[in-house]
Amino acid sequence: MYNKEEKSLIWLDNFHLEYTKKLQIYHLNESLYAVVCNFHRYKNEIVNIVGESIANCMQQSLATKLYMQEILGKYVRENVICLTLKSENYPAELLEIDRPPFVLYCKGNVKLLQHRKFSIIGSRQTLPHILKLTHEFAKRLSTVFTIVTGIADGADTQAVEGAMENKNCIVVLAYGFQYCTPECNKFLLDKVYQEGLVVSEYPPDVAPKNYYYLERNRLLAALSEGVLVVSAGQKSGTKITANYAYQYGKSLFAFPYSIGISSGIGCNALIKQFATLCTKVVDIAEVFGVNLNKEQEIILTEIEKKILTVMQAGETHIIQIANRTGLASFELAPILTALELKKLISSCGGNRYTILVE
Amino acid sequence: MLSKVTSFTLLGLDGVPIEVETDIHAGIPSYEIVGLPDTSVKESKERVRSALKNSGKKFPTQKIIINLAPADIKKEGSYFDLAIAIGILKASGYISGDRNINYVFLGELALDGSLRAVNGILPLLISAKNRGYTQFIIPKANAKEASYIEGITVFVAENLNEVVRHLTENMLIPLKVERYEVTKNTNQYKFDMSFVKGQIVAKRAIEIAVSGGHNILLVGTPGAGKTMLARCLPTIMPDMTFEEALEVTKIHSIAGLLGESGIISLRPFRTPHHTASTVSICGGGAKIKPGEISLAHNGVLFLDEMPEYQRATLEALRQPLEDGIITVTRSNGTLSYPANFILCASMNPCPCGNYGSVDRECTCTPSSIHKYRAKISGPLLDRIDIQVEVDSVRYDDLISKEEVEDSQTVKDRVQRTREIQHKRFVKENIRANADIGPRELEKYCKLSSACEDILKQSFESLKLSARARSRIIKVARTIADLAEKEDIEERHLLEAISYRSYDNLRG
Repeated sequence: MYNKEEKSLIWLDNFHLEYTKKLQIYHLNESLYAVVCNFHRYKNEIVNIVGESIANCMQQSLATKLYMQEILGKYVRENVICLTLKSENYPAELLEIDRPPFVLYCKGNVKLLQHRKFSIIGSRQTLPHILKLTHEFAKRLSTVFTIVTGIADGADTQAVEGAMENKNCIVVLAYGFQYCTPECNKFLLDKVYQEGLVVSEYPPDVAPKNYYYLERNRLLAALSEGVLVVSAGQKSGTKITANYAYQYGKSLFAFPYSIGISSGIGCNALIKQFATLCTKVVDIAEVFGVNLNKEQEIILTEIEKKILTVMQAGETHIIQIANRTGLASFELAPILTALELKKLISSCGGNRYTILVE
Repeated sequence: MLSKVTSFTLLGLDGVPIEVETDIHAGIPSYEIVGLPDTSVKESKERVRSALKNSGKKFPTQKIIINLAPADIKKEGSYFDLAIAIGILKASGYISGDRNINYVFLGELALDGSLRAVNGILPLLISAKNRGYTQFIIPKANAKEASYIEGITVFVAENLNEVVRHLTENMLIPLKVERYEVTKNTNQYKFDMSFVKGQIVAKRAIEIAVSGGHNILLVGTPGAGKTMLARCLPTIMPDMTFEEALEVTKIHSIAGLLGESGIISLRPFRTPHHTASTVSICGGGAKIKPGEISLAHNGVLFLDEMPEYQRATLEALRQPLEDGIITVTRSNGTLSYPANFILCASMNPCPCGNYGSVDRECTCTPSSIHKYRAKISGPLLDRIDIQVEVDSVRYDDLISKEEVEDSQTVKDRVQRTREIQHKRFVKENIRANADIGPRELEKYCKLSSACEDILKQSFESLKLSARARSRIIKVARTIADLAEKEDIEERHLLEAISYRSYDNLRG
């Protein structure tokens, strides 16, 4: 299953050490396995790095083979697959960044890591119609790319839901597989475990901590060819991901916002600096030279066409549509619902509708 | 000497005849009431004594025993004062003759001998009439309420002396029966649909709700006009028939809320505050009084800010919403009160209230919105057929200068729609489309294959819960009725699907 070097890395990762300490131990010898085999020889150096008690723990764990067997057995039972720095199928994209995870824990369809990947991220506080658009973008893009995102409330959730319609989604967690925040997304996450892929650089029993999210964001950026920011506030974790993406030389896209919308300040700032303004799925597809599958041609009635033309201006209230088409609102309601069923528009609260496809 | 006088007491909405037996015989002077009287009845002893004295009658200084039969029913209230006083006068020989034996005496005595109004005269008289009693003497203050019942003779008196004189000289004139006029009450509501500007979607939804008797949930930002819209609901409901008005008046009479008006002809609109207890909403208490849902019978129960109500209180509404009746069971008895009302609830779309608003930004995360909405349970939501969003913005500038319909115009349409339903359900125990059960759904709401396709598609693409199905079909039936169409057409179904904003917002 795992070779000796891989096992050594999994063993090392198991002690929840900080990245730099792990790195120091990793650099003690060419082969980590050599360190493991001759632990007593390196003991003093390791004590210097991690302290006496942890070093003792490590030594004890090596005294018997049972310890490793137990960990690996647990991972097998829980369907956790470990991709280590020394593994063949370790994602190449991660090797290009300065702090690649020693072990990438995966659960689900690992093959998705080999696909072309694109990241869609956004804030927890995102406007309703942007959420609908995020869903639509994720759905359309997931026909070509595997969508990489988190499982947070708001934009991330919509991106996951949209991508899961094509079962083409990777969720990167900032904690171990045993946890799920927010809890209300547990059901969705379970679906991704089964039909998509969930990855994390933390062993399954690591609980979430705030700064883990910042660490996690570098993986989001590193894994994907490009990043779309659908919403970002003034101080947003999303902006940090975007900065990583810029640093790693990935293409960056952002939705434009009008002035005064707090959940869009970050997006506009990104557009000013280095992000590409994006309003259509095609904007992204063109950059990568991919052809998105054309949506099936939908037969529209005259009045439906008229309504769609009226709605081109963006989010539109039913009364505005009524005034511009000359229909009564109760006559409109059935037509709008029909358009919604055809997935051409979506209602986004307050009797307003937004157009989903151009 | 022994005398027997008839009075009545209330058990819920049902009147029970009470025989007031008085026996006066020689012995050490004493005065006792037996037959399970509660404190309010026991106190009548002193009221009767003073009233007799102050009316210039002699209170016998002998041994007086008063028995309220049947002795196994707990007696409450001040209904018996007059009957006890008359009983004592008869037993002491002040009033003679047996020709007044058929009267039913009801009324509370003041210390000066005048008669005070009692609660629940209307239900008392109605059940007494059904039990074959025809002659009544009641306080004048209750005259209005009593004047709507035909087929009985009611005498009203202002004080004890008048009653006594009537019993000996027949001086009182029977109360004239008043006719119930439906039309005279229109325009008495404080609100009118024409006051509400804009809100075309919500107004249409309200019209549908009232037409089919559907419960409705108004979702909107604070200050959007949800309460105003809700207040318009009774104004477009069809006028109450005499039977309906009587039912409403009966309940209000028991609760002591009748006031000056003899009969309640306007549909009730009840707005219990969200701190209301389950008992105050459903009914109960030591005397098992009707709750808000019974007071809203034949009218509207408006729950403003629904998620703020206690969970248990909201859940308690489920069964009466289904059955139109509430059965309150306590250790001292079980009573049923009617509770057939349209539930109109309002809520904010999210904790901060600005979700979906144009000019104000929502600061809630989807999970906090989800938590807020989860306060209203699925089963309760299933009983609310129409969920509609109330616009947050002032659309005065967007609306063309069209004439705004007033309540009367809408009411006429509602009335017509209700008649169609009456004709359809003449053989069933159904009042309106909202009451359609699973069996009738098959029979009266047949869907064409095109409609079935739409419904199937809507469940797939809009992620509706399976429970929404019958809800949508019932509303579609009402919309078809409103358009005076025999069959449910596609556009009716599609419009019905659009009234599911709550399901929609949840995603």
